[in-house]
Amino acid sequence: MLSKVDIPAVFISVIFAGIGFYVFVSAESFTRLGAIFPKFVAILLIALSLIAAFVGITRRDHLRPARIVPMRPVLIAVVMILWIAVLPKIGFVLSGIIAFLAIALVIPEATAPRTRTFVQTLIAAIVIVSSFYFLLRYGLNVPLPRGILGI
Amino acid sequence: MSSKNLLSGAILVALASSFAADSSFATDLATYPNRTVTLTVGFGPGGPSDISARFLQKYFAEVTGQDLVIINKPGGGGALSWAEMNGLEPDGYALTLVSLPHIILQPIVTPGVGYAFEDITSVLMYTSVPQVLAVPIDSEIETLEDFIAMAREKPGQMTIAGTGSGGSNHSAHHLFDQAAGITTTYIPFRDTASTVAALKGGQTTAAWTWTTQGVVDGDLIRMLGIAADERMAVFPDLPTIKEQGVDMADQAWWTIGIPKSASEDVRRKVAEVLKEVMNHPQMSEDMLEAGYNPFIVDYDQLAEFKKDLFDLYVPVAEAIRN
Amino acid sequence: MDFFSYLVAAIQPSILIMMLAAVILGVVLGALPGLSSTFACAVMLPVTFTMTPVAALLFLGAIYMGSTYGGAFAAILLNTPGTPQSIATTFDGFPMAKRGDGDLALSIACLASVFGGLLGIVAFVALAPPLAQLALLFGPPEFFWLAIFGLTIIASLSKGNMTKGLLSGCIGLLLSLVGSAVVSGDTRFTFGVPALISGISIVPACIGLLCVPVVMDMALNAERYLSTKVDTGRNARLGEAIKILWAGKRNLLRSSLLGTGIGILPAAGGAIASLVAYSAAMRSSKDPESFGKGNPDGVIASESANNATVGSGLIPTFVLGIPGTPTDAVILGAMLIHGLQIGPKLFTNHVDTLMTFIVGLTISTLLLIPVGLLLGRYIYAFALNTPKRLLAPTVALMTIIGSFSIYNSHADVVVMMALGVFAWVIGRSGFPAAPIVLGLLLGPIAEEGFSQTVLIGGATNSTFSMFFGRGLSLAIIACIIVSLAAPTVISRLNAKKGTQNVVQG
Repeated sequence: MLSKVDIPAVFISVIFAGIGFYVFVSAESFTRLGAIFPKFVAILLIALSLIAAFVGITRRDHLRPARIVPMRPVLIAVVMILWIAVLPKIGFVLSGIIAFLAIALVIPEATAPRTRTFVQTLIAAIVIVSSFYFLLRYGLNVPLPRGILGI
Repeated sequence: MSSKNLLSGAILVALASSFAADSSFATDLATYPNRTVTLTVGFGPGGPSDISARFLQKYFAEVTGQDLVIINKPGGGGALSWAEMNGLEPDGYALTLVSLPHIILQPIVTPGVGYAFEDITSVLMYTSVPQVLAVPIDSEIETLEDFIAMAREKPGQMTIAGTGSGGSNHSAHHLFDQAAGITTTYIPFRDTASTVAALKGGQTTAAWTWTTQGVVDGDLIRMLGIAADERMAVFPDLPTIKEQGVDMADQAWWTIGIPKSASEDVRRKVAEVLKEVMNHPQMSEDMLEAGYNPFIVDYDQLAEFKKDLFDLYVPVAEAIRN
Repeated sequence: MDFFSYLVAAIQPSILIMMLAAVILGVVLGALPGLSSTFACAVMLPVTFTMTPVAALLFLGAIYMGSTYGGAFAAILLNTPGTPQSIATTFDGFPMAKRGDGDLALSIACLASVFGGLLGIVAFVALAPPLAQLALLFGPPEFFWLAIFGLTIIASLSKGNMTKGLLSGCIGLLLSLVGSAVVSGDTRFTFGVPALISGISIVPACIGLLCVPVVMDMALNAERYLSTKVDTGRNARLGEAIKILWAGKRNLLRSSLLGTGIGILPAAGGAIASLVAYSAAMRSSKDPESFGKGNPDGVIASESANNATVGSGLIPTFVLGIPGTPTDAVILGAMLIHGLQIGPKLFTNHVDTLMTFIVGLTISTLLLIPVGLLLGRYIYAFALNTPKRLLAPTVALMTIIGSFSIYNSHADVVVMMALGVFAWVIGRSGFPAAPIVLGLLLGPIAEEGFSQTVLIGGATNSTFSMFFGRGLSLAIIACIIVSLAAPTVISRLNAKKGTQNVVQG
């Protein structure tokens, strides 16, 4: 489906240009030597953003994807973000198992979900998360966050 | 189906019990350490402070029967590890390498560094390393005198490499120039490896670096003077800078730190155990050979030692802050 | 002692088994995104305390070589460099996997790694002293120009979409500014967050920018994650891989040489080597347009170059006492702790240890052939046959572990995820993620080189001649110009040839 203006790209370009301005202004408070690079990159960023925005508006041959924001990938991101947020509180193993299941649920399946696959996923979650826990904690001496249950 | 449930149940129970055995209990000082101790080093692996910690690691297991695990957390010349230090468990099992005079210089030179000198608690000082002023082996500068003479002829034109901005090498550069009455230009490099590479390649006229580097590079660099009060056994022929008429000394001292909230008992116990490790017969020999100076300041004297250093370095910090 | 006595000393069964275990361990650790060679060696260092110094070196060397290759697994299958040295492997390795040639890519990566690794070792044995001297000639201006050369790869990678690719590169450069600046001392863009003082680490950033979008996109449809073109049967398309390698032998040789050359530069590691080799391969290819879309030559270039740095990185490490790559710093540390004298004295006082180490490293490299091919086949089968329902959470788990473990930092995990979502969002709009990685990696090198040159030049009143008057710098500048101008020139020449052919019928 052809569309007139590549709106997302233009939007992003404008934001990038804004970032460029912010960086340039912030660089005023750096030392002389330390401000050279930021200012240079900021100018480059602004210039390129303007070009990209221009191209996005004038070139009218962009293909729009069927859905601007596909739901499921966003859900995966949400699960991961929540996971990272609770990681220090609940601990690696517990949060890992829960998140594992949650992500597995979000992945679309060709066949309808059955209890058997759920159990299989649960076992996989427990085994995989624990294996990594033991590998890291005892194999590599990397202490992973432990939460209220000590794991 | 039910057998699968049983299986998952069994796995869960087995794992739960092994995890339960894992949880931490309150510090039992009598048996400290009774599990692995972690030491966070705010510098990259292979650098001078990291290696000093690895000497500790080597003999820790022999002396205590437990492992000392090193976690490298480079960032801001150590600042990151010191900013996060007080958030660790105060049970004596989460230690952090603390370098002086870094913790004095940084909060003044770099605002927003994330910690204050007063908040950093050390339990034991275990090593010091003097700095040295060095030139490439093929440099026309043969002695410290030559160096100073050349600097007087061409003020500001001599370039001196060093690690980092606002760090130890920087302060040595400042102190030396001040004491000798000369002006040279300091060129900061990312880490000791890059500084020494620049020196050997003649990219700069000279460099401020550590005696440990001198051990490694003996034949490729010429050390002009050691910034300590006394000569080091590993370099008997290297005169101190003071001997040669310039009144300055600058070292780095490494201590083991612990979160501020750790109790007195925990602090003393940790200091005691570490001292034991340092007293391992092989330890001194190993460290001396590598260019380190095993130098112990015990917990009781440490606060005052740090205070004296603080008074010494605050003016330096303010001078090099730009 | 002659060569065969060293060989005999290294081939005792116990040593061989130890090296085999270390190679396998290295490959596995390298394959896990986020666990770099430096990390693997540092973590395994305590294990060596009970070994003899020689055994310790052999052990660490095997882990180093193995992990440098292992990074290709994640690079090809997950678009995430398992170690930073494999960044350039993702450019063509992942597209190859997506179109069903994953096993082929893995086999090619294995053979290329072995070749590159051996060449690096040969360079060490044959040319260590002169190459070390060459390394010393690289000063701040040279590093600056080298970084610029690396950055021009962004332009080459963004063929279809120049503006967006360059924009991504700029974002990468901006990200590299975060934290305390080495030369000027400013603290920039930390927004008061102490964790940002050290800046944005390359490993969590790579994982976020390159892997998280892959995980998120696994949820787009119910198709299998990877398909396979050919029923591989037993041999992981080894024959095909060998043919491709032979056809690309000039590329293989050139990339290994480039990797060797860059490995000798202090602190420049496999990442830069693989990028430069990749860029050169693209330049010299008859079909540069296909790079980035699954051209096996890209994988050959990247993997042979990064394994070459293992051997050549030892040159400055052993000859000059300056670590050639970050992992070499750990190896140097290990030697210090084991009481081996390092620096020039090593060649006079410890020749035996050195030679045994070299032979051992060669054996480890050769062991990569069976280990790499076998492990590759199993991992590929795993990636192929595991349903996405289990694969996606596992990979998500690995991203979190990978970004946490390297510096024990929750903040790094947050950065990883933030960059990941960012990359996914702009990726949907056609902004590529790879240039961000390049900007982030090369920005600091460029800025430090620039600032140091300005300072030194300012002190000696020679700023202009420092930037433009040094032989090495000029050579690199020439490469930059060729790299940027070549595509236009080549296409003009081809157009001319085309018309000539038409005329001649």
